[in-house]
Amino acid sequence: MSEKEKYPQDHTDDQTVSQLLTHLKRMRRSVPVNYQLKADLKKQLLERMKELEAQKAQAPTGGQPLWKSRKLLWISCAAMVVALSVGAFLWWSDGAVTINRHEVLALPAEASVEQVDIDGAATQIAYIAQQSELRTIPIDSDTKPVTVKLPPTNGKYVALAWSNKGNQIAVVEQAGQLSRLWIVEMPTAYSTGSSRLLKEEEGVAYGSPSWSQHDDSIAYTRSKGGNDEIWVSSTISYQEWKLAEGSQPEWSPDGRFLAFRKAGAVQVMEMRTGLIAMLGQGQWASWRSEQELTYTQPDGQLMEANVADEPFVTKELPLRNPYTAELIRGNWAANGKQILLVLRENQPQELVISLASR
Amino acid sequence: MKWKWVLVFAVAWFGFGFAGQPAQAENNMNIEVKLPMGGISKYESWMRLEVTITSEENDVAGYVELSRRALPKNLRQANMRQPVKLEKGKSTTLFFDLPMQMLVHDWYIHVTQNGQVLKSEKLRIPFPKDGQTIGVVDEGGNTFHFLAVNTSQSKMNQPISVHNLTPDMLPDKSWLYDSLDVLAISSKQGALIDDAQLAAIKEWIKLGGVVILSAGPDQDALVQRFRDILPIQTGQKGSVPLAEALRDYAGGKPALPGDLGVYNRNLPLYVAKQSGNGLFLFVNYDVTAEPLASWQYNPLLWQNVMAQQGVTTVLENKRHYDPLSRSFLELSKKIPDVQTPPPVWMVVMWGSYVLLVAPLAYLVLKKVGRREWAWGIIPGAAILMAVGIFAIGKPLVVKTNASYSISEISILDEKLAKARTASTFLAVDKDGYDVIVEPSIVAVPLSQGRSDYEPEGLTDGSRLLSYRNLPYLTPRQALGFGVLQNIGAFDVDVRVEENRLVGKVKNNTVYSYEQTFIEVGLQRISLGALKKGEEKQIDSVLEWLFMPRNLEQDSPDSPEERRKQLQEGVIGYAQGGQVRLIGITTEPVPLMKMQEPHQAHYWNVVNQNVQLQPQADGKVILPYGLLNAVLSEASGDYETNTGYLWQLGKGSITFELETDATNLELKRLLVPLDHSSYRPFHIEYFHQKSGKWRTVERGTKLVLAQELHDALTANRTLLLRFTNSTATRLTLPTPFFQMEGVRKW
Repeated sequence: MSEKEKYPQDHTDDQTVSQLLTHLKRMRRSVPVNYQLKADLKKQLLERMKELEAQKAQAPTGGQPLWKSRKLLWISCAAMVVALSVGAFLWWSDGAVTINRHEVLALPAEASVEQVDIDGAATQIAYIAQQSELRTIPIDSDTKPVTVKLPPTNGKYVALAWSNKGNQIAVVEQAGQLSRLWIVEMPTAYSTGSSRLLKEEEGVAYGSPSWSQHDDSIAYTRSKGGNDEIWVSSTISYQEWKLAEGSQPEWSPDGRFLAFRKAGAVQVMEMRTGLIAMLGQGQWASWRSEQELTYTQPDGQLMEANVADEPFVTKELPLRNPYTAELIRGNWAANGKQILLVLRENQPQELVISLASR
Repeated sequence: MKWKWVLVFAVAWFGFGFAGQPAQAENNMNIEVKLPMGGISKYESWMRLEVTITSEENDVAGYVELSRRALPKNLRQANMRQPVKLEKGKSTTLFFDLPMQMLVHDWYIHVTQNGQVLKSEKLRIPFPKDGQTIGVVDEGGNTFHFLAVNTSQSKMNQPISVHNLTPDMLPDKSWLYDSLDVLAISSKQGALIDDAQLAAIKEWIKLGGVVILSAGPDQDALVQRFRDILPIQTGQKGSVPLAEALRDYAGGKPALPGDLGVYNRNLPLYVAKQSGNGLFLFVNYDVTAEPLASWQYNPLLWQNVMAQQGVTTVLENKRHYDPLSRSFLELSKKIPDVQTPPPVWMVVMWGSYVLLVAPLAYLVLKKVGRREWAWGIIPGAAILMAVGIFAIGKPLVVKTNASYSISEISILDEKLAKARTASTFLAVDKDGYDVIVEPSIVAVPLSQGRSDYEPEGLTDGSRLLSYRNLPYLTPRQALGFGVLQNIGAFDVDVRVEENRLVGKVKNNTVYSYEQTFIEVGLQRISLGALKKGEEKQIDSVLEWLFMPRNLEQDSPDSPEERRKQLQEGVIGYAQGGQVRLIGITTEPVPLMKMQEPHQAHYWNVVNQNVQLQPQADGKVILPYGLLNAVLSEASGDYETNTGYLWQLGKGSITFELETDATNLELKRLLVPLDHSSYRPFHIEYFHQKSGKWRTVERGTKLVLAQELHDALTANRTLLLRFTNSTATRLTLPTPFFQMEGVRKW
């Protein structure tokens, strides 16, 4: 088959050209029509615009009241929402302590309020269980619960306190006439933990241990023959010394002050000068920051004081406690945000441990 | 296709041409590397490489390079370089001084000229010796062989090796003797030791070395040359009965019959004299003389001599340094007034550029319909920002060239002090500079490598360190050590009375101190600032610390806390029963000085060992914590994190209380085992004479006085064992102790 036979072109080309010419003619004829359509549309549009302008000119007299009332309504609503928010915020942040987690733990009524403590970073709570075990309850999700067997002795473990670094716990043991102060090294991923007997003495009762700023000493109550004294034992040397008459010592985070209880009142001693100032009747002082501390009045009212102010000013710290249990002790974590509350419940009789924040 | 063949030919010509050149030069050049004292070295000491270059046929003007790499041809990757100029047929010797710790890796020496490697040689260095090394200088190969006691007899089972040296092998630099622990010389060799060698040996003794000099009758040669340390009258030869002369040292072994010829008949067989931190022991007879030389109990005799004459004490008290002084180098990096911009700032700046400047410019240009301007505006903004950051940021980081030098100066006496120093240099507008080193200091230029510090720089082999082609604002470092002359000394007169440290301190050094303190064991008693010439009284309670006060402090948060921690690392703690006076001064001590106008900062620790004076009754009290108590043996479940507190469950730990690190005739030893921390444990001490363990009553102190010597082991240590029979882990502190005695020398 030849190329010509394969692609016959001449005749077809003639036909296409003629078709194209016809089409072009048709298009030319239709253009004026489109121009006409465009002109009509433009006219209609201008008329409509004129109408709208006329309406706009009339609007101030006719549309104002409706629009204004709507605007006023919106502004009023917004103002109310803002006012409510501000009110709620002020009400919420007036410094009151609010319980976030009630009854994290319940201890038997005969348990001591010193048997439980919160660590400085507010990640876990430690308590003495069955008088021979140390257990922790995680507060955050990263921490795991731990159970530590305390040295097997014939005594009962009655008080504890977390170290500032959170790797050790001071534990007080009472074995008849013998009192012991232990340091429990908490287990880690690299170590199984261990216990060190820091102090052992006969004929006395130890209590309320409190770690100093760098964890290099522990202050504690030493009761003998009805007299309460505050003693300090070094954790890095064999030194020990008497600090004051009183009980329930609590170091301030920077070690400048020591709060303690004497004759039913909470007092604060400046370590450098030895000067002592009385804050008021109460117990269980706990430092919230380097200058602020709280304590509990005999009626269960939480009080706060600022030692930066001279003279010291104390005031009530509201506690939003919707439960019936009465507050005995409030113990701040070192971050100053969370407080461990020890409350006494009467029905049933037990110690309830709750977590609150400010 | 012809051009391909041309290319192949060109490559081959260049390749073979350059490869051939060094090969041709190698035949004409010789590299010889010598090590002092036949290559005896210790891991913690420095080493001098003596590199001798000989060129047979050509003049050479290039470099001798020390490199970690077997250099690829024409590639400069040397760590250290020294210029070399050598005429045809001549030789020259260059020195490279480096910490042995660095030299244990593979090293190569290259001679280069105009970037061409003329000759390469792999460095072959014998591996450093462990344990104690004794160098013996005598003509006989077997002299002093008895010093090599069995490993089991040596302390901590350290091997003791004896090496024979010829007098010509003895270096004339004191620091080169640090590869030895003891140098034993026979006086017969005296004539062969020159004055420079002798001066170096004497200086080494002051720095902490031990020299044993043996001289028989009429062997004057060397004895009189040491008379400035120990004056011994000449011409007093005689003989002494062996049985009587050796009674105190023979350890009950059957005495040798006969007499022994001595150099001075008026002196005992062994006379020790302390000089600075070291000891000179004169042996009043020729150790090669029979019958003593081949006596079967000679090793035991010498073990007792070494212990009783204080050689063991000096060796035990040697402070082991990190030869790279990493704590010094780390601290020197913290140049005051040089603020590294916080990474957050950098992230914010670059983030703002990437996220804001470029898209913003694009959007604006799009709006105004000039998107094509972006080709100029965006790179322009980048340049503007770079210039802006440079102009504003640079003065914020550092305003001028700066250096920070950290030095430790250990005073040995008024005339001599030992120094260690590290400096960091930072040039602002230069890519190279020189550093001049004090003549008495040996230094090496350093840079921070991937895993550790590495030598890097140009030296002239003695006083000049040069840094070249440095990247912008890149600090460089140098490390040095040596001696300082005539800086004076503290006049310290202190003693322990009961539980107090009392006495006085006078500053007779050339520096004033912002802070001074006395270190007793783990306790530091602050004396405050001490000006030049100022005197202070001391009356302070000694604490029974069992761990350093700063050990348990939190990890540093701020740069200032980090700096303090590094400073603590530089100060460190003394080893083996030394009381130290420590002063901190920021006065200029320019041991390595940058040769550019710059702001120089200094932080110097000056320390001096203090000998506690006796009380009125003549007894010296070495207070609690001054002497070491080390782990000897342990069984069961035990662990320590700090070395001061020990956790133990179902097992026992035995401590060795080291009383031998003293020069005291021991009278009383006291361990406060009555403290509560020890009460949960069953405690026993080993009674050497009876060979039995004796129980210490719970809650009582261990006090040994009359039977102390019967309780001590052959190494003059007391073994104390603590047992916990329960599975519960209990913690006990290291049982530090107090020692009382009368000073022997």
